[in-house]
Amino acid sequence: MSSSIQVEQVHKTFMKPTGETVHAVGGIDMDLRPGTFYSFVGPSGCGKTTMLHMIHGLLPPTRGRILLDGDEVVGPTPNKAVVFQQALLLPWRNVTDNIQFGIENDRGMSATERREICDKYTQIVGLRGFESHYPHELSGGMQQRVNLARALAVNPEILLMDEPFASLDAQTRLLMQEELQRMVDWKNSGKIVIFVTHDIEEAVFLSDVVFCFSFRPGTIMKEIKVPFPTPRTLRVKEEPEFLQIKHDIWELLADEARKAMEE
Amino acid sequence: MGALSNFYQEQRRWLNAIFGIGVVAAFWSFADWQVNSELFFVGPWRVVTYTYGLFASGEILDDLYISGIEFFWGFGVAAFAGIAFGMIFGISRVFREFFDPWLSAVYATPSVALAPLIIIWFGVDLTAKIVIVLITAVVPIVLNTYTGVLSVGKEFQTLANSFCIPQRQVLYKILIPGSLPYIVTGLRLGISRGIVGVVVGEYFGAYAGLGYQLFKGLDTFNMPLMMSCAAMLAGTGVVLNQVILVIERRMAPWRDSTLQE
Repeated sequence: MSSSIQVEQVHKTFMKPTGETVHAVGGIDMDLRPGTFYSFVGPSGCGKTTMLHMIHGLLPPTRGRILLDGDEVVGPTPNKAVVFQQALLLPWRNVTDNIQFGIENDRGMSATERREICDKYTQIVGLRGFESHYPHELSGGMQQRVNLARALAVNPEILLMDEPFASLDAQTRLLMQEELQRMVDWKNSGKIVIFVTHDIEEAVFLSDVVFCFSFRPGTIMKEIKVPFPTPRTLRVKEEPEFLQIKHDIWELLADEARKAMEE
Repeated sequence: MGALSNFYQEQRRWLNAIFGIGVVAAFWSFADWQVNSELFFVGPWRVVTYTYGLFASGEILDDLYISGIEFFWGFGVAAFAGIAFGMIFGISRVFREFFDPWLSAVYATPSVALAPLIIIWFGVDLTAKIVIVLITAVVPIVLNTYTGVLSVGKEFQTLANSFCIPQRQVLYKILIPGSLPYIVTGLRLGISRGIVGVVVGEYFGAYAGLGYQLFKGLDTFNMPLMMSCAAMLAGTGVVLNQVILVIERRMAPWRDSTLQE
């Protein structure tokens, strides 16, 4: 089973507590296909996280609509899962119980199956041996692995990642980028992955398609296909073509980033 | 030398506590020796032997039972009601804004000021004492529980929504465990205040109880009885606090490492 997403002329306006309205997203169209890794890249305040939340169903669009397999998205559903920017692990649950968070309500699943799923994703994210550790005993990178495993455990068709590596140190971040490809395996599982980041290099390295967002109201300035075969190694980042793509995106985003900075 | 310092490191908590008790007892004994009049002061050893005497003769057992009942029901109801109301306060902003002034008012009012009213309304029997203990103990439990609920970040609500966790499960999967450390603090404060409530309640008319015995000691110039009752009240507080801490450690192992050091 694999899903596709259509985003049609989506706008989002917010009301600030001061009464001022903010036009966060200004007319976005997207056609997202299964087995593809998409990135939303753009300056702070470009509406990329808002767009992610709307696809997830946490926020309704002000105008336009988002279709998941032809049905309008009205709220979070079990076929979507989020990897949060902050790990958001429950401090009173150990690794296994945190990973289990999203599947323990699934009545059709026996305790043994649940255990097997937890074991499987504990293995995949490389946390064997840490099952009974509590979040405060884990490093930031390990916490993000649990965060990822928790989302993968519900076996979502759509995996939403909201700057998941932003709080990691530079080296851990590089390693996680490389490992993420194996851990999520979207090509074979037919998942749609949407990855929000403001790190251009990260976006290009991971994605099949990069969406470049303009500053508020966020629109898509360009949709860039990244041609390198997957899985990629960090070495790709040194290839001239990679650097060229990265450079082109920066050219595109620099003005927008400046606007964001002056805001 | 190494073995001795290792022994000290391992048993440090206990050794320090015992040492602390010893030092204070020494000063206390010295003061007693200086005052040298049982009308005004008694030493620690006398308190121990006098308390032992009260138990041996059985004359204190009724009082312990009565005060125990007062505390048990008063604090028990306060704990349940306090946690329940604290949760509602934490979840519902309207409820919180509506009742907050009253909660603060009850918290600020000394139990000594409320007790006479309650005695008049409920009579001199057990009910009045239970109500006094309840009212004194419940407020810190409510306050701490609701502070605890508020301390659980909004982002955990988002987390629950994202994973399609039904709202009623949020209560016991997130809000209750998340506020547990605060609830424990509330219960510990409630214990201390509840014990005060017992004594205050018995001050305004009683036929038995630890507080009653204490004030009887005051009326009859029985200093050993007064100090013995005070010591028993203090001891109860210490023991109950330890019980709560042990329960917390059992229920909240994730806090273990942060609590230990």
